[in-house]
Amino acid sequence: MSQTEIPLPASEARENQERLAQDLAEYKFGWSDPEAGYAFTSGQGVSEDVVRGISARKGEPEWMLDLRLRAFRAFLRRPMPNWGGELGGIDFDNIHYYVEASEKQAGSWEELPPEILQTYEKLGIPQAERERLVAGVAAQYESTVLYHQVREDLEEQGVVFLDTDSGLREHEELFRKHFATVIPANDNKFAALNTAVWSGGSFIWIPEGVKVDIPLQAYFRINKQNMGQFERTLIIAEPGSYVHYVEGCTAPIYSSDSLHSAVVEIIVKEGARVRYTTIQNWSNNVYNLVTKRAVAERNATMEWIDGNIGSKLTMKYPAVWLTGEGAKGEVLSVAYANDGQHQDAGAKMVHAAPYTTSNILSKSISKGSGRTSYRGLVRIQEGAHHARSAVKCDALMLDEEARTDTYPYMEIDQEDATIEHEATVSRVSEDQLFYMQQRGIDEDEATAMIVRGFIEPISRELPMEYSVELNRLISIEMEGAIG
Amino acid sequence: MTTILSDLDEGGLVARGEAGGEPSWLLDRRRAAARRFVGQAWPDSHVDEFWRSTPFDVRFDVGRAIAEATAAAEAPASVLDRVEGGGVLVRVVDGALVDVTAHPDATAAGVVAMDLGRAAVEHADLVEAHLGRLTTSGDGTGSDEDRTVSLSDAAWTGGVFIHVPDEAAVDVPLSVHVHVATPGAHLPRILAVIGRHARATLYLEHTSAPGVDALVDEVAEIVVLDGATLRLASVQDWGDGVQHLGLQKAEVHRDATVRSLAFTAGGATVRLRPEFDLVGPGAEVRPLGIYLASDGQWFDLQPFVRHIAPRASSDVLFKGALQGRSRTVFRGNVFVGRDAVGTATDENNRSLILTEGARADATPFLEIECNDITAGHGSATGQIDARHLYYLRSRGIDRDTALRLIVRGYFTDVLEEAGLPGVTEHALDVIERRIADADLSAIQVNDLGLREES
Repeated sequence: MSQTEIPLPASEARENQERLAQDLAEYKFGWSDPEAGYAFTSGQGVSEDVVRGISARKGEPEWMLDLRLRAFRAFLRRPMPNWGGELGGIDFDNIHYYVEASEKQAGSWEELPPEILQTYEKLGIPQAERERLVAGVAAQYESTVLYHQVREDLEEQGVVFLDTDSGLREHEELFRKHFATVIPANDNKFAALNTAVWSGGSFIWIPEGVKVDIPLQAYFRINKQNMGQFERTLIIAEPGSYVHYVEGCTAPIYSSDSLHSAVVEIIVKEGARVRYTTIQNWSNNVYNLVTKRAVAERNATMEWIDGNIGSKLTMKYPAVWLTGEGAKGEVLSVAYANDGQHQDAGAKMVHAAPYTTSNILSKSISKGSGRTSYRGLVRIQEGAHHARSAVKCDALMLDEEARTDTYPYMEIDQEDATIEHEATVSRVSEDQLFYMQQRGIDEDEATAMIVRGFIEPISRELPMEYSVELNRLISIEMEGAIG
Repeated sequence: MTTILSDLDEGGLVARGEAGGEPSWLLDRRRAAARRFVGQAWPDSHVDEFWRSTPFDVRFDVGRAIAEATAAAEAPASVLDRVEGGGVLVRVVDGALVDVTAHPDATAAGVVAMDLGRAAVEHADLVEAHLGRLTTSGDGTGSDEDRTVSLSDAAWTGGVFIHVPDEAAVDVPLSVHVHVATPGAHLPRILAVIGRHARATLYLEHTSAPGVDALVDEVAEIVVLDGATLRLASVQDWGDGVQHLGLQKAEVHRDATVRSLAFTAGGATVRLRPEFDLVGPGAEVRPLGIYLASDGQWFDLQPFVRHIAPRASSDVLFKGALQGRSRTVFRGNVFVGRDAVGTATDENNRSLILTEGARADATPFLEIECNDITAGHGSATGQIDARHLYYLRSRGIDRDTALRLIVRGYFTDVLEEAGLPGVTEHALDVIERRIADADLSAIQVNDLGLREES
């Protein structure tokens, strides 16, 4: 696979995106023409009837409907957060909460529209799947998962990788035992909304001792204007197992805003390890308000790798509750905010058991009038003796009007905890540019190199194709602003 | 006349001022603040970010009457007693300025230290220009400040005015000693103006009589004009029954320098806000803090630095130690505005948790709107490193002495840097006394480092 591709110039990238949006509008599979082509839509706005309608459409068991309704009432009750980003632009009445894109899942790559194939091509996924570099793939458009594939040998070992709706249908007992246990229905306003209207997402169960050595991938796309995407992901890693799950997100550009409010719950049992990688590239009119939380049991390891490039506003703080002795949590986070964007991202680590360790590394870049905020929490609960945590957040500001904030919270209830926090804020210095220009590298490329170097500690942790993608996305973002 | 804080109304507040013969501009200000006060609610820890870590309704009792000045009780010793040659001492007891001890050096330099109400008449130009300027926002609505500050703006009693004239170099410390001997609510107020290119040392001392339950809502406004140098200390030596709401706001002008120390060891609850607005290019501040919290104490320390002008620098360092069931909150804020190019700022917090049951929260915030700067912050929480103890013990020092040395050493660098005559010695004594009282056998050490090395 070629790794030396030259980043697309901004104009071309924009054209591509427009073409993609246009092409999708014509697509015969019936999933992008705004009204006519959809198999089912709940219409705009949300009410108990909408919630009941979604549940009925899916033919869900009674307990799920009850949970949805309870969550819906919690959503109504809870106030909007008065911290973080500017949420005033969200009009809950103007959002489509459930849109079924297609009546059936595609059975093979060839059935997917060429535009989607092209997008996957950019991510290196189809080739990867052909070459068996990924263990499974899921693709979600709007509210439903359209394509799903998992490698046979994994299926034989008992690995379950389904869309969440199928997960509920096919593994109800397992599902019910874990669903909404990590993030309760009334956890926060947006998690409550998700619990009420969730659809799609991934359901993964890794049996004891099974190590899935290549990543499972999912790809989420919002295509419709004023769409709300509320996918729900539940991952259960049985003792001693390992899985790496990767998700990517995009949306075309529409004039009015969309809402993405996902919930991801992960249960990492004794000695298991889960790595969850997200590269979020929503268009700049998507509110991305996501609740992600994992429970790490005894000697388990949970790693979140979180890249936030797109969206208008992202508020996302992947969390690990370290509930078992010796559990480990790690968050690596890259945020890039361009003009008009606000990335309010961070991490939460709750140490609830002895000898737990956590590590947070955050790299934020703000360009133009973009704003990045690191917001993080480290809590050491009483009894979590010998806990250790280290937090490092670095911010790079590329322009005069750029803005960056650091809001770290540390709550330490245990006397022998070792907690460290460090942050730096810097810009691309004249010295650095001078040095590189002197060696014949023009200013734009020099800046891009500095940015790539800045995020390198995180990009090197990504699977290769995602690392390339991250670098490319950032290059496109940077050129867009320079041109 | 007794007035419960929560029941204060506009009329009652103004009557108080009129009885004292205050000028009309001051009464107008009190009136405006009283209106703000009436329109505001007490802070709600569920809603107000700055009150997030300290539940106002639990830690502060506003169902108290404003304490009335009584026959002056004996004030305890001042840190100035430890300073050779003394200094200027202004004593405020139970809401009234009781006496001012002058010092010939200060008098010769033209230093003014007097009752704030009297100064509003005798130094009307300065007091009118500055009083309440830092606690109300530019549009006069005071919307930036919460009800605890509106209360002071409206109802302060026992005010002190300090003025150091332009060019005056005053080496003797000027101390305002607030002492609480009567239960109830106390509303001391301080306005200090340090003239252009002047040099001064200002102490704010806080003590209370044993067993007194009181709420002290104190606001100090400190204006440091161009090129001035100020060394500032605030010493919180309250008894166990005192709840302290403190705002100490300094406005630092062009090329002025402020080095400050907040030393907090006494009080049931102390919420202290040492704030610095860097409004002139080249201003420089070094806010230092040390605190030692013991069983039952709750300290919420909120240094806030606003970089408004270009090329100013700030470097915040707060170090605390906790023992017993105590709680400390470090809520540091550094804001760098759009025009503050060339800012250099750093913000650090260290917490040493000595015994089981203590809790330390640290939130060192940074908000940056300008890219041509250098900024950093850090925080660390831990306990005594077993390696340090091992080192000392291997040299024949017994465990208790070694622990005392380590805790003392932990604070010494800050105290030495602050270099405040009288305050340094006093703080060290308090620390020694606290450690002497502490149950040294309960002090735990962290042996992770030791185990990794062996």
